[in-house]
Amino acid sequence: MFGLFKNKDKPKTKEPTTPEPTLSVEEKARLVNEIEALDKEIEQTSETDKPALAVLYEKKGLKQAELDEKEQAVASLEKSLDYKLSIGDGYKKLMSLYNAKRAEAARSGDDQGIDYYMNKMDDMRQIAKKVTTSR
Amino acid sequence: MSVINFIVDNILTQASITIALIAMLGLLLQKKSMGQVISGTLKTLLGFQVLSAGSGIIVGSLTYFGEIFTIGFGMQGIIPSIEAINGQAMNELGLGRDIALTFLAIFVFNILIARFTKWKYIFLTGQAILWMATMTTVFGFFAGLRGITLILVGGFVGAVFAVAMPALAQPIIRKVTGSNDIALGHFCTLGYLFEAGVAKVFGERGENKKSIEDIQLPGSFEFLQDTYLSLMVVMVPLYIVTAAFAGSEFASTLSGSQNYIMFAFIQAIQFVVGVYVLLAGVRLLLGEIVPAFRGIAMKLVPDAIPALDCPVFFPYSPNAVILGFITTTIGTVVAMFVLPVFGLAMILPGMLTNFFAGGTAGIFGNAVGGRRGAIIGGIAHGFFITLLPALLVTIFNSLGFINATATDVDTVFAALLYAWILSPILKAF
Repeated sequence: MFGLFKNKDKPKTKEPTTPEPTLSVEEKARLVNEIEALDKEIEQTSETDKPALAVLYEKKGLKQAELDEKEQAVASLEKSLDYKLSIGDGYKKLMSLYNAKRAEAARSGDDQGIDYYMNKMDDMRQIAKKVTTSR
Repeated sequence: MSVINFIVDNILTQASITIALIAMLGLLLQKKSMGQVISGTLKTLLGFQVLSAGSGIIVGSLTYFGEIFTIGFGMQGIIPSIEAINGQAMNELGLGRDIALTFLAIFVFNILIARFTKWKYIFLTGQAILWMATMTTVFGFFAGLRGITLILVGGFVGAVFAVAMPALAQPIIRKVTGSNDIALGHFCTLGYLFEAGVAKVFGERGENKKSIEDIQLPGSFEFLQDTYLSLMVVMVPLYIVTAAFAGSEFASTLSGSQNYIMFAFIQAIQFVVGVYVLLAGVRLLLGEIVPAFRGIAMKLVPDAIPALDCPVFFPYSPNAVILGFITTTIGTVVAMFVLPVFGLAMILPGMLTNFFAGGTAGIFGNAVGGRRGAIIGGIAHGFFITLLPALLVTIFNSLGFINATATDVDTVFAALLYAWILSPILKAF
């Protein structure tokens, strides 16, 4: 049993939990361009076309996360879920961002921050339950 | 002195007061405002009383069901419901205060283990900790433990499970989520590992491994979205068929002037009402305690890996969840008919456990053994999660529980450790 515990740490080093952004200048520029293009698309999309807006904001949030713009990524991904609940890559990224923010809050001893992000993670559990059972 | 005696004898023995004081402690430690402390403490107190009311309703319905089942089928029919076990233990058995203190002890020991060892898991599924506290208290009591020993042993055993179960599941969770950020905090983990083991032996391997996620699955499970509707879908036919088998002559003695089938229908609804009320109580009860203590835990263990409830992992493998639910249900139905052949009680399938535990087990089976692994592993899982609670029935009966057994297999395993290992040791000395 304890052998298993020892093994569990090995992959930790192989699979970094949150990949550090090691983007080249070109990659960054490409992502910024893509985000701008998505912004334009969002502007042109009707407010009533919620599924389309959900997809666009999800894409935008994922790209912002790649750029390590955590706050903006969280805002976009939350917006995507506001338009339409889904459990795709955006959901997973948002969960991981919340958890990262929760850890940041814990390290700085910020009670309110911990509370806020733990509640957000609770909400994510509810979304997962709801979307899975209504497929 | 008489004032102290009065407080000890009349106030601290009240489970609801003990639980409310625990919530108060958590809120004070979090430096909440006086208003928040008072409202949180009172809500917790209210939660316990609501839970007790729910338990009373469930017991009434289960007593009726037990009688008609015994006459109808000539054997004992057991409903797997950890809620019913918790409610009866808290109220009818008078273990509420000990369960509440054990609940707190599990939290504290969990924080200590995570703080001072390399296993950084903080178990955050409040309900599951309550169920674990219930089982360690009931079976500790059964083994002869009392007072502070009962609480400390239960707290320690529960906390070891709270760290060990996420740790054991983590290699597979890491594979499924692709990160080490979050862990699985659900006391059905031994079942998941069992399914993973079966899937490893019988599943697909290497290049032949085909994930269920590559297939478009039809079907909708919206009825499961509503806990109570899904319970009703199962309970109503169960009660009506059982009443029909018991026959009008016997069933009418219980239903009085009302038609016996109609009475069975209402009793089935009463069971659902009981669960509804009890779970509303649990939500009120934990609504203040869990956020308070998880805030403390996260602060004391900043590099904690939060162990979260199973639906969090559904998005990583949604088809496997549906496959896991279906195959686990098949397994539980097979076990329902097979176990009585070996002299064990008939355990009726619990659809909610089948969905949440079965669904999560499906993720494990699929991750380890692909489609074939998930199918064979899922059926085996269904059998496994029926067999373990069946082993507890005799002890539950001897303790005075009415027609119910526990569901979450890790809590059942903890109970069996008490019953098969701790109890004989204690009785030998």
